[in-house]
Amino acid sequence: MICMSDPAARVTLRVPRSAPLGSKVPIVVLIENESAAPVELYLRGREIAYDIRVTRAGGDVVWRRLEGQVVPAILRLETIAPGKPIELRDSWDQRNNAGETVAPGEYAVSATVLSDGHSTLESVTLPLRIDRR
Amino acid sequence: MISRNTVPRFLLAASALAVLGCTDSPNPVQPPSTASLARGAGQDRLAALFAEASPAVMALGGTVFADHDERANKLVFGVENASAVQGVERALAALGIARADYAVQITEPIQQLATLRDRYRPTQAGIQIHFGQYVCTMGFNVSHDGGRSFITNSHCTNKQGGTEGTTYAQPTRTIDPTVIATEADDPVYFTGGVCPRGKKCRYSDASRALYSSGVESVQGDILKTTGANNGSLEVAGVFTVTSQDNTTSNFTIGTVFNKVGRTTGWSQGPVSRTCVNTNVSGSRVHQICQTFVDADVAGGDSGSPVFKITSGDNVELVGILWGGGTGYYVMSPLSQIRKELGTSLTATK
Repeated sequence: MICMSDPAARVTLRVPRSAPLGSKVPIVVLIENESAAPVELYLRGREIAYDIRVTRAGGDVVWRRLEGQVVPAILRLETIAPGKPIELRDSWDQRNNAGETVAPGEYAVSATVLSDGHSTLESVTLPLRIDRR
Repeated sequence: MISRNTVPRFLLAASALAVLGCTDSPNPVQPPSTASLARGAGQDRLAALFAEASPAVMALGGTVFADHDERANKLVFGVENASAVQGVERALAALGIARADYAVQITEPIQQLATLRDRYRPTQAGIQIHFGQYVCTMGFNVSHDGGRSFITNSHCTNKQGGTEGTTYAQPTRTIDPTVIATEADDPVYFTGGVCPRGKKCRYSDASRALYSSGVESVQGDILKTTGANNGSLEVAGVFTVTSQDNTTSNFTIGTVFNKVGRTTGWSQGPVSRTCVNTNVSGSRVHQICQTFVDADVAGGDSGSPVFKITSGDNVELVGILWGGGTGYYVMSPLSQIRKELGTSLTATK
């Protein structure tokens, strides 16, 4: 088994560079195995629990996918074959966690996959621009 | 040959060598002194004696360690108690080793540390269980009209709600493929009535698994780790379930609850919300009248027994943990578990 900190496993993110104001922003989180052998990961949740964070340029969190959520405390053993990533899809409706529509401007998006204990797999942060229509 | 003391000693020696290696020698070609030659010869002699003495001594009952202590220029043997000393002395005398060449110390036995993720037979509350592609925690062992069983979460079955005969291994199927128990009761989730539209509901995230014959279990014990909120998984004793709360759904805010789970060990904290109707992330499941506790939780803790310490290691069982958010976990009260899994359920010693 390869542990979560193994560099063979990593999380990447697909986010459009820009989106029109008010539209749903599609976000794809990929858990990839970069090694030549299968990796076995311990991931939290019956369905894989993952968080997405949208922040403003200064780092203030605008939206978190798991904000206020109660996640089952179960661990899922997932084997990822080389070149066959797990794909997790969601979207952001451009509202903050209080339900208000956000303003146009520059944002940043990142993702976290919860694993064994308090360890996580973190993606890189990608920019997202919300354009006026 | 290694005692716990040997490692730091070795590290010190290695550090000293490293420091020496980084220091210019005042006279790199100077021959070694007579004293150091004598010491070296002594070490060689002791090393030869150690090679003979170690297997002879360590075969004796009550011995803990054997060490060639280069600093003290002696062989050192650790024994559990005074009654083991004579046997060591006799064995060394038989090898012709002089009393001045060794010391015998009484020391604590070195035990392999058991954790909540190890194999347990008989099984105990708080240990890791494995089914399908998932890992959870064994909640607590019970006697029940349906037979000797353990309680874990409904979501720690192959299908949450409905009884499909999930089989469990402990700690994992890889380590021991024995089926220790089979899911025997996991009531289906209901819709309508008090259940919000679009949701499916229950009053507890709990299921019962019936033990396989031949797999022993201990009822009334919960494994205790080294301390509350220290993250340790190392088992240091047991809590004894002397009572169970069969009636409360609405716990008093601030009451201190504890849990033991395979991921974060023993955590302790106050009840922060009581009788909370709770949606479960990533599903249509809605749990009615649950309890929030401000304490640590992580993936794999599902099924952890939740209890209140009444005195010393005596505890009252109050529920089962099933999920969590930031800084808190969520549990189903035992009163509601019994309503769904049967009032014959008894978890006390």
